[in-house]
Amino acid sequence: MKPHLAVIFVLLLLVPLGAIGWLGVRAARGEQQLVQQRFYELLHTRVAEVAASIGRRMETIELGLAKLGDFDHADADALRELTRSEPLVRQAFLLDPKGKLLHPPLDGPRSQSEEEFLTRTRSIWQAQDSFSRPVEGADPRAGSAAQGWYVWFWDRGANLIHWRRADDGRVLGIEVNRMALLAALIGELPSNDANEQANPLGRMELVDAQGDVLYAWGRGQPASPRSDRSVVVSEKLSPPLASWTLRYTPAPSEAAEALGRRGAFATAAGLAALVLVVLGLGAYFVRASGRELREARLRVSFVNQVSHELKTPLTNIRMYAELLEGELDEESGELREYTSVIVSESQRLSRLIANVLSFARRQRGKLALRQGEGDVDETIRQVVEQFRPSLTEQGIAVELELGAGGTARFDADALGQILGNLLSNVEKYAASGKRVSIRSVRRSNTAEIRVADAGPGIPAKARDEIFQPFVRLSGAVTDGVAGTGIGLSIARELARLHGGELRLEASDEGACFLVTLEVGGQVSEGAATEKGDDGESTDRGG
Amino acid sequence: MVRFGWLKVLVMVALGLALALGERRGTAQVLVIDKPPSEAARLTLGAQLGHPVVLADRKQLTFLKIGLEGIAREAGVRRAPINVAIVLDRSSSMSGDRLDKAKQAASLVVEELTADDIVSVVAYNDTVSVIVPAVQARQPAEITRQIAALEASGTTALFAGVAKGAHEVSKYVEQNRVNRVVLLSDGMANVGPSSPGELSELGQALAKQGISVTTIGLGDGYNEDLMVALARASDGNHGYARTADDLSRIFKLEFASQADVVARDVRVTVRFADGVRPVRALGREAEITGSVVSARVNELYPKQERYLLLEVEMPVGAAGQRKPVATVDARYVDPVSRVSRTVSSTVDVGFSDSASEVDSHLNKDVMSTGATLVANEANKQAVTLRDQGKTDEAVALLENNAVFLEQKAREYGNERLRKEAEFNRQQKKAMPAPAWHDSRKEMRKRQFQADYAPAEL
Repeated sequence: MKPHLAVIFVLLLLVPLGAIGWLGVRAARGEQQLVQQRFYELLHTRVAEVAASIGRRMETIELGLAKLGDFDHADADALRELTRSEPLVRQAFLLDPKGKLLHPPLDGPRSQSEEEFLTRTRSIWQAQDSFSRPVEGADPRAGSAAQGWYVWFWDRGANLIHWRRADDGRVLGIEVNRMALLAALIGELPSNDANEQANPLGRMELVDAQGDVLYAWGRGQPASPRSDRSVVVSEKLSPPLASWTLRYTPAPSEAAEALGRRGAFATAAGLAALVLVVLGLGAYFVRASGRELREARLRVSFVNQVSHELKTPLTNIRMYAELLEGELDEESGELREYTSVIVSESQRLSRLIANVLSFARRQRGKLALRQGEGDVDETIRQVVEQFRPSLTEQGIAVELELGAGGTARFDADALGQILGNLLSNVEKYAASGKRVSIRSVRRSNTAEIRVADAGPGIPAKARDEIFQPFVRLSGAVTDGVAGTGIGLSIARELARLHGGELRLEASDEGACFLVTLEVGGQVSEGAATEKGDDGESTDRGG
Repeated sequence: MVRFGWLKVLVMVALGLALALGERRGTAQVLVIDKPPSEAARLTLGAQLGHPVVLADRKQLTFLKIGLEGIAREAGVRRAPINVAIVLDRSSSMSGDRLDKAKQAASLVVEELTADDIVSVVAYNDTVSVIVPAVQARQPAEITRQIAALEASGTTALFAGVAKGAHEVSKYVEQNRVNRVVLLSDGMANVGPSSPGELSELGQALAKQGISVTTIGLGDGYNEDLMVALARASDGNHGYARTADDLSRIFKLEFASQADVVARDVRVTVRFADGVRPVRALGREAEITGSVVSARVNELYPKQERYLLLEVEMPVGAAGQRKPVATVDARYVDPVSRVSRTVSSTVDVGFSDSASEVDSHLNKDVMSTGATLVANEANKQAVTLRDQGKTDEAVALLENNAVFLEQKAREYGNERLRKEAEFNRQQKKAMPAPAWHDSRKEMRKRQFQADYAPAEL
């Protein structure tokens, strides 16, 4: 494959891969955020579930408290009995409809604990309207609820009073034993049992208003004060325990697992699939183009071999035809004419084969010259002589104006091939001009040969195209003319190998090709190099 | 003191002479109100004054002792079925020897249990694990295996451990069972509610559910105030163990001695007559509301005496007069029939001009108990002073206490008071020492015993 094609091919692979990679990274990041968000949502749900279970437990407790005490028999003894026998009851008070304290009696005998109770709840029963205004946790629809919680802060943290109003307006308040309440809640909350499946990997903590842990469970370590607060999920409990918080610290492994497993997998799978598709396409392309290349190479090689095979019999035909031509005298008439046709056609065939073989060599990068001492003009003359019969037949006059004589160093076969191609083109396309002029000039170490005809010429836009292999100008000029389309391409290649050039010169009429060749330093007279066989010489040059 | 035995009660009631006898003697008497005694009475209620006869025409103070004693249902009865949660501290401070000993002791208990008993095992550090949920003790080997697997680490969530233990017990609370949480800990609680006041609140709530917490301190580091408060509020026992042997002994006493629960949720109500004023309750906590005093005992076992001691201001009376002092009710639940029953008693007092007559009627047992408890209050005060760094005042208080006890020992001819005096002197010596906290534990334990007189720990 040609280098620039290879670069394009690699780019074709790399650009989509890069794009996939970039998109993949973006997608992975997006997904990671999503997964993280889901993970936190999950944690929030988990914490909220526990908070809800505590809420339900509180409702049960509230129901239980609401059944305590009987307004019909709410005397001191009954209320004291309540305090003595109910685990959740620490103390109880009774207010009359105007909010005045009925029990514990302000004017009667009181126990020590009742005394303390009155002290710590003074602000509540003295306010008289504590339970007529809507309180925290009460149903806001009711202006004055029939029962509810009253929360106040005393000693360490929140204290709860559950109150309820009788039809006659009296209010019974039950002070809840905080420790009994906490113990009751702890009793229902999960513990770290070996067989407890529902235990979270992290650490769930019930925290009071001061931030002290009341109860904890879960397999994780407790949240260290220095740890990143953002990884802790917390949820306030619903009233009346609103000063308490449930907080969950996920285990590091839990977070990593949730983030790593799902995000990376989906993205990696998608990316891998795309990469595989691109690589597969690339591999298919390489294979397909490789196969085509191989097939093309095989075809070229086939043509090459066939050409080789043709060369030997053709050489013999040509040799014997020339011998025969030599034997025949002027009187032989038609016979001599036939022989000359055989000779010129076999020469044409030789050039064709030479072109094919040169092309094949160029394809393999093995086109080379076999330089030797010789005379440029001599070589020109020989070629012209070869073409003369056919040119004459087509009525094309040859004008020679040779000025490049003298010893030169060049490949006579290559020059012959160049000129042969040019003259052959004249024969084929410019016969209408009826003349061809060949002029050679020697300038220090280069030789310039101009081959000009008077044919239809070559359109300006095609001046470069004609030197591309397999390019044949379509249209009237080429219609019905056979050709391989590689002649000029080979000729230019050979001229360039010679350190020279083959180009089309601007001319008034027809086409004028200029061949320049590096032919060594000095201009001196010397013996012409013996001209070898066309095919053999190029073969050896390879 | 006159203590009524089982037979005597029968005889008394059968003859219908109980009231007359009581009046004649000026002490206490037993009345079984709602059921025939032969079927119903599960406890005896004794109410005695330190001075059954007081000097006329003046106000004076004396002690009223209300004693409760369980009556065995029948001889040789098997011990009551137990419903126990063993709560083990497995915080890092328990590592090594302590946890091993605690585990051994706990296993010992489990092995003593039978299929009638219910056991649960809870272990806690910063979290709580219910190692064995409440279950019939059919497979002790399996339970001890689980106990043996425990390892120590972490901090001490004592409150949560007790709460979980109580929750396990509460699943099978029954009237005729010994419902008990046994807490084994060496440490100060440092997670969750950790003050004696808070643990007291928990203890009170558990007592109302019929669950007592027996607290056993291990080693030298535990917070005895906290452990005592919890035991006291829940009507449980408290002890502390330095060695594994101590621990096994405590456990055996705790469970083997309880042959039967004869009465449960005993509510004692003392209603004083006009002119009589209750001053304070000594020992067991009591609620004084005007002229009414009430107290509560969680469980009562046969041959175990629980008492309430009140300091009372006597009415003023003329010589030769008799005045009622109080009526005492003890309402309790019979764990077998689950029927609530009440026993009652009345107390009255005589008046005399003669000091010698007053002295001759003196109830030395009641007076000795009073002296013990008064001294015990002083002893507690000494610990408080020492805690505040007022070592000199504390030492002086203990010395006074010892002198007081010696004097009362001579007065009432009571050997126990003399021993108490001796002990106060020892404590006095130990107080200034830097390693006072060992002695403090001993003092707190004795104070607890004196107040409650539960099974000897």
